[in-house]
Amino acid sequence: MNKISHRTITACVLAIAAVVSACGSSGTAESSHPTVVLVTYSSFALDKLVKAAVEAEIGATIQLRQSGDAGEALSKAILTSGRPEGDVFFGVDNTLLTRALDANLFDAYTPKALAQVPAALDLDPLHRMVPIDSGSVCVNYDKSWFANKGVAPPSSFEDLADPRYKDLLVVESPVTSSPGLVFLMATHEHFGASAGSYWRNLASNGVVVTGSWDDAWESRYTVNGGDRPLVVSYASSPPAEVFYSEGKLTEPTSGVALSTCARQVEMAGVLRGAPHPDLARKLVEAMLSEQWQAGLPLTNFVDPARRGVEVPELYAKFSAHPPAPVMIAPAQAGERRDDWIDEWRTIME
Amino acid sequence: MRRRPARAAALAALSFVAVAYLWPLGAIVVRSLAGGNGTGRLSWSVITATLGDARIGRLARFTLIETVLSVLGAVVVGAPLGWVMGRFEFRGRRLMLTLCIVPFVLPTVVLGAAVASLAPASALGSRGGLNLLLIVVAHVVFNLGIVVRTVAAFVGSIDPRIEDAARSLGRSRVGALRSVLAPLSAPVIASAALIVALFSLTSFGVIVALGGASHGTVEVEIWYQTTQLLHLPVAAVLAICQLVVVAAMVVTYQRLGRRRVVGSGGAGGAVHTRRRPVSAERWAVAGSVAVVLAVVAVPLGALAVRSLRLHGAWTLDHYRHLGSSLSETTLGVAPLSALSHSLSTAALAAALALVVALPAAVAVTAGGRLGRWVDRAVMMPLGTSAATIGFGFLVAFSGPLLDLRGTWVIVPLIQATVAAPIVIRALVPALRGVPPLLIDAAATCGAGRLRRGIEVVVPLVRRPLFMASGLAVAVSLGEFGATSFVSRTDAPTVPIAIGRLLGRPGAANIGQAMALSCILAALCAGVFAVVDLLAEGRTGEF
Repeated sequence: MNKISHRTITACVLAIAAVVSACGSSGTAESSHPTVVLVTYSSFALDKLVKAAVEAEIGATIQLRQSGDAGEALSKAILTSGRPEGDVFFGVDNTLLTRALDANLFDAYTPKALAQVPAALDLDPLHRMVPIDSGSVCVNYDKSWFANKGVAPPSSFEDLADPRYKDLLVVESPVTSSPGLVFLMATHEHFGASAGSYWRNLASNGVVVTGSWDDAWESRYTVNGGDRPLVVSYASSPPAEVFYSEGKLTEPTSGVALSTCARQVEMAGVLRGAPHPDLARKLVEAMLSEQWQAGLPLTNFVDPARRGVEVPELYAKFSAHPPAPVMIAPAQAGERRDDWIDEWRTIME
Repeated sequence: MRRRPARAAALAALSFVAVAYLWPLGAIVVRSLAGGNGTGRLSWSVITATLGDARIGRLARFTLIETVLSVLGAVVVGAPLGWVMGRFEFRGRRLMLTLCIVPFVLPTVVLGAAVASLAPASALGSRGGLNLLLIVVAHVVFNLGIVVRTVAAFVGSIDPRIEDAARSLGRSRVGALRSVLAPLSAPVIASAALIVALFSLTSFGVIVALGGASHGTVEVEIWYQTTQLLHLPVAAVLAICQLVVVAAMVVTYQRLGRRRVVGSGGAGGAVHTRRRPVSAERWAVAGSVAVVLAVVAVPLGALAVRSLRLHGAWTLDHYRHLGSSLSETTLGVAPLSALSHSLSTAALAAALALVVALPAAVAVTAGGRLGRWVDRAVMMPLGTSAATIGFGFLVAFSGPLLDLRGTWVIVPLIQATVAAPIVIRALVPALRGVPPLLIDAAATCGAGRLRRGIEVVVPLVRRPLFMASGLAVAVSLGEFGATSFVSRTDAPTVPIAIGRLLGRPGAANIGQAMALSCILAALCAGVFAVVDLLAEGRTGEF
């Protein structure tokens, strides 16, 4: 008869206890040293050296709490309003600003470094949220595909609906994708009331919709082996291509259609009810410091909000700088967002 | 034979379900009743508006169609494969069985990407039926292992002499199949089909990757309403509808299971039932191996190929650079750290799942009405939207009394809730095979209930227990949906790390995501290989 000896049972219990205590201790190792928690979306990246430098400056460990995309992270913050998960929230952009402010999530704070930020980016006059970086969502095109075909790439929103560019565009769904949502809002800013008919034209012009940015970029974009040379992406996608090519590329394979760009401003704020409000304010101040801002271009592929920050050469050279990007007004974006998405779904689904 | 209802065990199982599932679910419903903060209030008009919405109707129809087709596909492909793997002994049998289940533990994001990469690019995003086909294919790849291993394990426990008797009475080989094997294995196939149905109903990653704009499901809609719009009332209505459908499926399955005939051989069958194939059967074996390779190895191979290529050249760079500081910046932590963190979390989650599943399985085996209710209750989390569970956890466990956010306990807890139902399905048939007379004999010798359990039952089901623990570890390793909602400290699990890499441009990031996926797949294959070795001979439903 098989008998499990008491020794085996004791060994198992001890093993489980060891695992449990190991996990437990790893979670509470930092409890003695002051910690400030930054709540953000999951694809946010923080350079190790910048993190160490800022931690030394503010005298506390920075802990990141990341999940989902910006919309999801914001929803979670709204659900826990008053008893937030962390001290500082980063990731609200101009399309989400009114939702964040209406939910009364933040305590106002004006960092000293805000004086170095252009007024155009300062979207909340009450400084409940302050701008940290900006970027643009633009249509990218495959330079070599268009060169081979001898066709000039599209240069405006109207061009995308032109029969010359039939069956060439892939966009992301505004339901499941953030750049998709920004692109939709940009079309509404640009076309106003006739945005609906624009999308109908796009649909009859053979636009393909994917669920997320990575599906569009990885599977459908011709640069990565797909069948569509036009994709909604970022102005900073070209330098990212070169940066992440392991040295194989010296020039980006994608160009940017500058007139299709829409500005995205990302903001941070001190959460109301934060466990460490002093450290939170120090962190927001540090996020506008030279060292944090200088680290942004090559980790998150965005432009620093602070004036005069030295940007790495690769980024400065290859990132697109739209002279007149579409500015999405936060107030209108907040009010009409649901209606616009509903209308889009009716047309496209 | 009537057994006494195992009240204590049932109570233990139900308390876990109440704490880890009903409380978060109730928290979301209560929050949607209360309204506030722009979420809207749950009211009768909201319910009727949601249920009457034409778009929701379309989504529900599409969801049901893709679920039914996925189940049919998985069963039609998997059941014959399971029969071959269970009946015949051939070289590479264990390898095929391990290979089948590996896609099950991959994050669905990766699986969707792998299937998408195999399809012609123009097939995706089209308005025709090709999206549906790709989704069904991805679901079949994902779920094939469950059907194959379930059927194989069951066939392995059927006395082959029944079939021989049918042959000696004049049936042809195929006829014996039809009149003996088919009726015996129908309830087992039904139980595997139930799991496949639940996974397909609540599938998210595959739908987003392959569905494009025009092919959403109720699950995606719940995610959208919950996380992007914070329309909790609408999300709650949809989640409850989903639950009702799941409950109907579970009850149907239970009714089918009641007529089940257990294979001969008592406690797992000591009869060696597998034999080498002869003449025409060799073709069946060869065909099965070909199908497994086509369905499973091809997507996995595509993944492996993508992890070894960079700008048209073969290279090991992606694997080498997984530990570099650049990838560390993207992931937030060294990949080895993510792997070890995943492993420790999965071990913890598996231990918790076992602690919950054992009493639940005991209660279910004891039968009766209590057992059936425990069965239904524990299966519920598998059929609930990950967004609902995740946000429910957030709302329930962020109160002033109990704040588990960011603690080490919350991820294993959520993973155990998802893994426990699968573990129970593995344990119940094994427990059913333990002759109650043995337990009663121990009782007459003076052993109390707990001692009877530990010293009589556990040794008899030792191997299925190993198998179930391995399965729980594998499920937790690959869990992506619910885990991604629960905020973590600086320590992502491997699926979440893969998700982060996929979200960035540049060949290096994609290659590293594929490399990490291959490492995860190899890890899971290793876990299953070990488990299979240990569990050889006496297996549960898996």
